Amino acid sequence: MLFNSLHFIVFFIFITTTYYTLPGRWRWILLLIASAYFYASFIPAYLLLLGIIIVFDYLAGIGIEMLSGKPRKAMLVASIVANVGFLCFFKYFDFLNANISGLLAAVGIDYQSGTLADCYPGLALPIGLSFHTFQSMSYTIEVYRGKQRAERNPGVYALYVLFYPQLVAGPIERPQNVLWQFRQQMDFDWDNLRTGLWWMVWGMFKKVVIADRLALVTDPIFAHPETQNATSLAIAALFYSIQIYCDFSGYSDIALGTARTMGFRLMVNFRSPYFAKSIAEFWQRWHISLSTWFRDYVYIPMGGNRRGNVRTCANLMVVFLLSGLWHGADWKFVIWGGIHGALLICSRITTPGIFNSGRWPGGLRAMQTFAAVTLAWIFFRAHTVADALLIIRALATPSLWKLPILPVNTREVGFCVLLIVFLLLKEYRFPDYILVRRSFWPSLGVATLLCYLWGVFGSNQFIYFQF
Amino acid sequence: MKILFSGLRILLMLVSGMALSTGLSEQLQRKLHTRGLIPDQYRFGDLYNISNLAQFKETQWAQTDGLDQSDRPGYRSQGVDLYTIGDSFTTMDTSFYAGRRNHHIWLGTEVDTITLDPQVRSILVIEVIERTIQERLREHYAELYIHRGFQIRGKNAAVARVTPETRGNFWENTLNREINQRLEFMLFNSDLALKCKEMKAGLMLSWFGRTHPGSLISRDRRFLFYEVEASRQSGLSPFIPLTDADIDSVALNMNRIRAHYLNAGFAEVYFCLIPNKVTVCEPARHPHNNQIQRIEQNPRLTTPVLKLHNQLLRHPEWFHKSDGHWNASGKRLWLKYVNEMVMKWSER
Repeated sequence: MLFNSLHFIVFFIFITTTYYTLPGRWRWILLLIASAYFYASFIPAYLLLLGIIIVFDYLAGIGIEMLSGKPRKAMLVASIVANVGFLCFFKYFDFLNANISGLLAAVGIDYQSGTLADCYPGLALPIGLSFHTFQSMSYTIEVYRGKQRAERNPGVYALYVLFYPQLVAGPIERPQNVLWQFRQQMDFDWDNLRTGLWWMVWGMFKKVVIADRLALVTDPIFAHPETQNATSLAIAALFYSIQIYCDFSGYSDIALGTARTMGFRLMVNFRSPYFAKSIAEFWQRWHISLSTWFRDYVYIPMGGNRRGNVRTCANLMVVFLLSGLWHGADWKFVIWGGIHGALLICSRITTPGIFNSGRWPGGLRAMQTFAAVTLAWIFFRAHTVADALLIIRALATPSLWKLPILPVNTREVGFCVLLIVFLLLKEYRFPDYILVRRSFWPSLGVATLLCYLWGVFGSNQFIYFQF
Repeated sequence: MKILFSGLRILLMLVSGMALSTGLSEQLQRKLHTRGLIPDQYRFGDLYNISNLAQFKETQWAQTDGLDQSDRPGYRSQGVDLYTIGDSFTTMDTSFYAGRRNHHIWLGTEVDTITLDPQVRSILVIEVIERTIQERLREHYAELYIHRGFQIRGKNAAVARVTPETRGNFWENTLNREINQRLEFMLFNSDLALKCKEMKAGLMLSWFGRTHPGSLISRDRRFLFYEVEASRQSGLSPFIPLTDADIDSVALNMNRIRAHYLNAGFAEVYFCLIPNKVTVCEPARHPHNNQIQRIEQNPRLTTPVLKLHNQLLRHPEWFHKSDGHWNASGKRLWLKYVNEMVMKWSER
C-alpha cells in the first residue's frame, strides 16, 4: 500500500477513527493488525519473513536482559548476525555472487553464479527490509547497552517493528523513543490532528506534485543518457536532487503526520538539507534517522573521532561506504557513499581556502554543498556506474552544452522551476510547521485540492521503498 | 459538541470501513454494480475512463456502439457453420453472423471443444488486432491458437485444457493488486467526481500538453489512443520497426494455424487483421512499420485474409472518439466481410 494511493487514504481514515473509538487497552492490537495488513498489501508472504526477524529479536532482547557477561554479548552478536545475515541473503546475494564470479573469472576460474531468483524462483527483496533490520538491531543494541528494558509483550514488540507509518521507509526509530508510546493512552487532541494532517498533505504535495513531476523529466533522461546533451543531463541531475528530497522527505512527512494524528511522535528525518553549508551539516539534516544510526552503532563504537586524525578519517570512510551499500547492492551506491566520505574527509583535513569553503559567505557555501551533493546523486540515480561516468564526462565536455531537449514541454519545465523556488522559499521561511489554528481547515482543503489538481498520479513508488 | 464529533468520527469509521471492505471484495463490488449502486466505469468509453478529457466523452455510447435489428443478416446460409476467434473487437451477439450455426470464442480465455458437422462446411475466421500480431502470431501462436482455441472432439481433445496464465507463486502473490482501481471506481465515478477529473485532465492538456498516463492524444488533438498502442517506445505500437524476418515468421505461423485447422476438418481458415486506432487515425505520427500490408502481401502467406484494412483506413470516424475500439460502423464492416465470405461459401 503506497502512501500516495486511494487505498491508503481510506485505510488511514478507517484506522485512525477506529483507534479513537476503541478503548485504550485494545489500541495496540488494532495498530498491530493494521500494520500487518499494511505490509501484507504488498506481498503477504513477506510478512512471514518479517515475523522471523521479530520473533528472533524479541527473544534475543529478553535473553540479553536476563544474561550477563559473555553469554549476554554472544546473544547480541547472534542477533546482529541474524539480522545482517537476513539482509545479506536477500539484498546482497546476487551482488556478492556476481562479484565473486567476476573475481574468479579474472584468475581463470569459471564459476557460474546463479541469482537468488534462479535458486528460489519468485523470492525477491522484501520491501523495506533494510529499515526493519536496522530498527530491530537498534532494539537489541539498546537493550544490551541498558538504555531500554526488554519488551515482554511480544505484540507490543512486533508493533515496534511493524508500526505501519514508518514500516517500509523509516524513520528508523529507536526503542526508547517509541516503545513507551505504544503503552500510552493517547487521548484525542485537535492540535495533534491538525499537525498530523498538515504534515501528511505537505508530504503528499512534495511527493505527487513536485517529485513525481520532476520524475517526468529525470526518468527518460537517465534511462538513455547516451542520447542526451550536457545541458539536458545537467537539468536532469539538478531536478533529481530535488526529486529525491521531495520523494523521501515527502514519505517521512506523511509517516510522521499519520503517526501524529494518533498522538505518536516519531523522529524528524529531514531538516532542510539543501541549506546545509557543508557536507557534515548536510548529513546532520538528511535522513537523520539513518545517519544517527550509523553514528551511534558504527562510527562511535569504532572509535569515532577519539583516536587521531587518520583513524577518524578511516572511520568516516567506512561508515559512508557502508551507508552506500545499505542503499543498494551495487557499486554505484558504494561510489556514492565513497564520494560523501571523501568530501567529509577533505573538509576535515584541509584548511579553509579553495578546497574548503569555511570562509565563504553562507549562501555560497550552501550552493557549493548542493553542487557536490548533486554531483554525487548522479551515481545514485544512474542505472550503472558506466552511465554515471558517461554523464559526468558529458558535463565536463564544453562542446556538449547545447540547447536542452527535454521530455516535457517548456511550460511544464517552467512549472517545475516555480515549484522548486516555492519549495526552497517555504523551507527557508518556514523550516518547521507552525501550527495555525485559525483558517486551518480551509487551508488544508486548498492544499489538498492543489495536490489533486497539480499531482502526477500513476503507480509511482517512493524511491526509498527499494532499499 | 462532543457528541457531534463522536458521531462524525463513527460515521467516518463506518463509511471508510465499508469502502475498504467493498474495495477488497471484487464479488461485493460486482453485486453493487449489478444492482446499479455503482455506475459502470466504462459507460463513456475506455479511453475516456483513462484520460477523463471532457471533449472525448461519448454520452451517447449505446447509440454509437450498438448494432440493431437491421444489422442482422437477411438470409442465413444453410451450408456453412461459422466459427470465429476474436477479442473485444468482435464481441457481439452471434446472431449477427450469417452462418447456419455461429460460434465465437474470446482468444486465450476459452477452450471450446466442438464437433464439426460433416454435412456442412465449417469455416473459421481468426481476428487479430494489429498491436497483438507479433505477440500472438510469432512466439505464442501454438499455445494460443492450437492448444487453445477450438478443439475438435475425437481429434485433438487431449490438449483441450486451459493452463492458468500465471499459477500463483507463494512469494509473488499480492493482496488485492486492483484495490485502488476498485476504490476509485466506487468512490469517484459519480458525475460530480468526473467533473473534477475532467477539470484536472483539461488543465494538464492545456498547460502541459499531456494526458493521463495510459493514453495519448493525436497531434491535431482530434483522436485519443492507448499509450501502449501509439507510443514510439511501446513494443505494441505500429511505430516499432519490424524486420522482414519478423513478418515472414508471422506469415508462416498463420499458414501453420491454417494447416492445423484444415487437418481437423475445417473447410477453410481466414485471418482478419484489424489496424490499431492510431494506424487509422494518425498513421503519420511516427514512421510506420506497415505491418498489415507487409503480411498480406507476403509471398509466403498461403492463408486467405479478409482485407478490410484499406477500407477502414479511409474512415477514422468508424472508431469511437472515447474508446480504443471501433464503433457500430466498424463492426458493420467486419460483419460485411465475414458474412459475404460465408455467402460465397454457401454458393459453392
